[in-house]
Amino acid sequence: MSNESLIQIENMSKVFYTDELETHALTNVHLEVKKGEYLSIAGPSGCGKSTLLSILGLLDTPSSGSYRLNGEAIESLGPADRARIRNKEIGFIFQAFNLIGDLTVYENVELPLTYRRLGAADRKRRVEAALERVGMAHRMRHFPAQLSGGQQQRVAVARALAGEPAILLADEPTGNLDSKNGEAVMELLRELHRGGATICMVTHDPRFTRYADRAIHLFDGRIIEETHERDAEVKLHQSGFDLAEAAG
Amino acid sequence: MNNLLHDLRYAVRSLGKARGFAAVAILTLAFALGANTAIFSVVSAILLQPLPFEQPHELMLLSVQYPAFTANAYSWPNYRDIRRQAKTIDRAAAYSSSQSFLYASGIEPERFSGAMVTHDLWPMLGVKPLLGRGFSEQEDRFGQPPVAVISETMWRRRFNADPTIIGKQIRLGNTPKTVVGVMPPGFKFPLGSAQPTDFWTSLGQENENETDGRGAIWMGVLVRLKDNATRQQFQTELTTISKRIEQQFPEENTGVRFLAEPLHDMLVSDVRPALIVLMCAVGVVLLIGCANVANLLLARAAVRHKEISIRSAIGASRGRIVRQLLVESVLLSMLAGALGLLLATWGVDLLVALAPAEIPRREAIGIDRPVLLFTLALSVLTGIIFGLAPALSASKTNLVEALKEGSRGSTEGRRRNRVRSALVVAEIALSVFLLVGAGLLLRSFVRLSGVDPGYNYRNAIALDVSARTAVFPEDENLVQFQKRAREQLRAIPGVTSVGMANHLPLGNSENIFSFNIVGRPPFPDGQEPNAGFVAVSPGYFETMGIPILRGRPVTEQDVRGGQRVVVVSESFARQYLGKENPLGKQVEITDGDGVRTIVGVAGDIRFVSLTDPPKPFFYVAHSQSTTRRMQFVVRAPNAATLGPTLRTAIRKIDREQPILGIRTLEEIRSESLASRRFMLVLTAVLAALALVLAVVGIYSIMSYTVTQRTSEIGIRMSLGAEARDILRLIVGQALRLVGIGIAVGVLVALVATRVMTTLLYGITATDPATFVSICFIIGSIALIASYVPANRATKVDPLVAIRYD
Repeated sequence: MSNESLIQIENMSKVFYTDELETHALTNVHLEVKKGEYLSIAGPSGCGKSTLLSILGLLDTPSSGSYRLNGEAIESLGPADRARIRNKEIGFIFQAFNLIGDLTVYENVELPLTYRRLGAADRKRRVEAALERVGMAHRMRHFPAQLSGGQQQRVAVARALAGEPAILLADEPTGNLDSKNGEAVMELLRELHRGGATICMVTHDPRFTRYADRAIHLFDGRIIEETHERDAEVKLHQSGFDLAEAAG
Repeated sequence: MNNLLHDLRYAVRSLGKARGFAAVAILTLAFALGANTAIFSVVSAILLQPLPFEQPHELMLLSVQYPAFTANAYSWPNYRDIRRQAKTIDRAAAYSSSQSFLYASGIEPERFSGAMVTHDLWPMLGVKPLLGRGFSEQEDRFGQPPVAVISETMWRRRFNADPTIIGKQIRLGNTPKTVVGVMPPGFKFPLGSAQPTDFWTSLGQENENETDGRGAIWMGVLVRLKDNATRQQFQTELTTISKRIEQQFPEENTGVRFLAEPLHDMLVSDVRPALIVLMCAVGVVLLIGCANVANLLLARAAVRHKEISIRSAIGASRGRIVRQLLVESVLLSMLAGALGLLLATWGVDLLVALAPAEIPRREAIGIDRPVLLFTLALSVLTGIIFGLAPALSASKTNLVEALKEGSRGSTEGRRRNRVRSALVVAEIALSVFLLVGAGLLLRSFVRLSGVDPGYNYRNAIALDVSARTAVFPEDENLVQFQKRAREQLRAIPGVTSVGMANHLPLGNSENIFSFNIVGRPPFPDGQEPNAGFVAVSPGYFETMGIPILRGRPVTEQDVRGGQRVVVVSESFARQYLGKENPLGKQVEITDGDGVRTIVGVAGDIRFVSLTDPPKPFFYVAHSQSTTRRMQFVVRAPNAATLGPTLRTAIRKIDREQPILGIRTLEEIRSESLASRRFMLVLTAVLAALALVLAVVGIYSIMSYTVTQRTSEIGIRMSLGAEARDILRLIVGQALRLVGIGIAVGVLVALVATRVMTTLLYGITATDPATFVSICFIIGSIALIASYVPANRATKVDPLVAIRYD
């Protein structure tokens, strides 16, 4: 992990307006993520963690506050520039994998690269490398429906990696997986982190916060606690949760 | 039965809940079914329904095959020989169309169309008169007191439906005639005539001692076969008779063959190809409509997936579900059929109003029982056609698989859209086929409209008169009438020239005569060439704008009793005189007026139709070959407005002179294209309807695709796809379908449009310009139709879309 900031969020709020109701999803959030850091965002349902991840991933815009990604101010960018940054700087890993059913594994992984207008040879090299990295190179001609959930999520990780983004954003990446496959995906993310990847992961499962360098805890749209790896492990032991048992 | 009623009740309720869907589906089908009903009413009346005569299949119309042409015209002696010699016929009748003025004191003479017929016609047709009778054999002889049978229309309109009309005398034509019968409403004979027939007079009375030669062909002949006789037997007999006549009278009959064809077939032979093409075209529109509604049903089936799954789960068999869905689709099509019928009643009125006069049996066109049955059957069939695929697809439920798919985490595949895509491809292909057909007709029409007829049809008006026998009895008087009329017309301010001819180009009538060239061996019997023949006045060529290429036109010096002169057309000179100087050469034309000297060569014109190439023509001096019928052509910058002035000018010569018609040359030319224009308009309307339906089809499937792919679009956007990428994705999918549709459509059109060859002019059925233009038009319109939903796709919020279920 370097000392260089990749994400800097200052005083950010997000308000949703529905009919005559105002819902404060995020309130005065301050957050900094260093390059190479592995951050976990935790909290109960409805606390605002997915909203925060969506804003980090440029899928949504804050109501107020500032957001700099890799030194670039994001608030003022138009849709095309936001799409460009999403494509180059951000890799998404979704809870529901979100692979495209009509595309093969290879084509799914290749998709973000085609939007970057890369040449065919370059795309091929990157796709193969990404699939090798997640151990799915042997399934590149398969369609998503022919894969298990764990394999589909590996492909989704490969798709996020292929563009060599500045940051991987994972939204409950194990949410649709059984514990064994979930553990495997988390191990994969840890490996990626060890290889230098910056990762922001939303999870409500306390077992997986231990994989991160740092965890922030949200409640009612505010960061109420920030813990580091060592603290998280201590907390888990204190609650009597047996990691070995959970891993099966 | 109970189950069916239950299904029907449920179908009504179900459609009532989905009013928007039902309205779109019913309207789409109503237009298609309405168009089919309207066109079928024409096809049924003209091609399918039997003629309104007794045992119509036994009626045969005779024609004559001459070495150079075929005509439905016989000479009196040949007709008489057939009647006497043919053993397979029960009766034979001759007829000839005619026109006469009905005179009554205090009312302007009114022209009526009628026919001279022999007495056998009445029992042969087996139509009972409304009043009185047809004329008898005794009355149908030369020298007998003139008699007439009149139409119900004339009886009602001109005689106030006088119940005592029988036995009264009317002034019809030159001599008073005794009315012996009134025919029932709707009776028409001859059937092929463009005008309604209002009177029938005796043909036998006109035929003094049956003295006409065998070369004078002017009568139609209709026969009724004996009950046990076949057409083949009669034809064999006719061939034997024609060979016998050929041997006995070789001068007029060498190479002549008599032919028989069922009256109905002969009547409709000209319009049959066009009607078949139209019926195919309107069938294609219905198929496109079916494809559209099938697509709507498929989309609806996706929405009703849960309902159908529940029905399956509680024990409904697949057949039961298919039946329920089919009841819904048939109910839809029946409602559409009812609305279509309403649209068709207006459509039929419009069709009849727009249809050119020469279309046979126009008066029989209407919504009758066969048409109603057709619409009913077509509606049921349509409901099954467009309902079957969606019903089969929707009934194939697999709950377990559906649940599994929902948890898989990949977007729904496009495989489910294959049926819908195939339907859109089919719609595009059918539209291409139809539009190519319409395009070919349009290009033909444009070409034909641009054909130079060889004369100047602009700024000229024609006045059609027939000089009265009572006032102008002799040839001398007719020539005087012609000269004085030209003088009167020439004196009208603005008129630059005046000419006269007994027939005008594109006027739907012509005379042709065979001829020999003096000084050369006569052509062998049966091989004499023919040429058109028209009697013209001085000033005719100048007024018509027909150039005189050599020599001179007919002039005032070509008087009666002087040297008989003729101006020949360029084609005549080239074809029969080659490089020889035609001036001074002499021709003997078989019109009975002897030898004429060629004094000029005129430019070629298209006389009979714009489609036929110019042919050899004789222009003789009217003063030397007088005719009672005269068509004066007046050239003036304001020609179109001169009608009333021309009428007044002619009435200065004869106060009671009836005027047969006043039309500009431009109108005459335009009317000669009426049938083609009618066909073009109908095909274009159908093609436009097909295109609209196809565009709606593309739009609806792309809209549905965007809705169905919202999640996928969201994923793509989250991965960095920009608006243009999404636009390209959706439009690209549409264009792929359109591309396949166009390719299939072009292949179908390449084969199918060959049947249109007879309807085309100046282009082939595979005209590349038409094919390319239509592909371009459909491609462009499809692009626009798919752009709207594609643009909507770019507005998808990726955040919402990713969570989209």
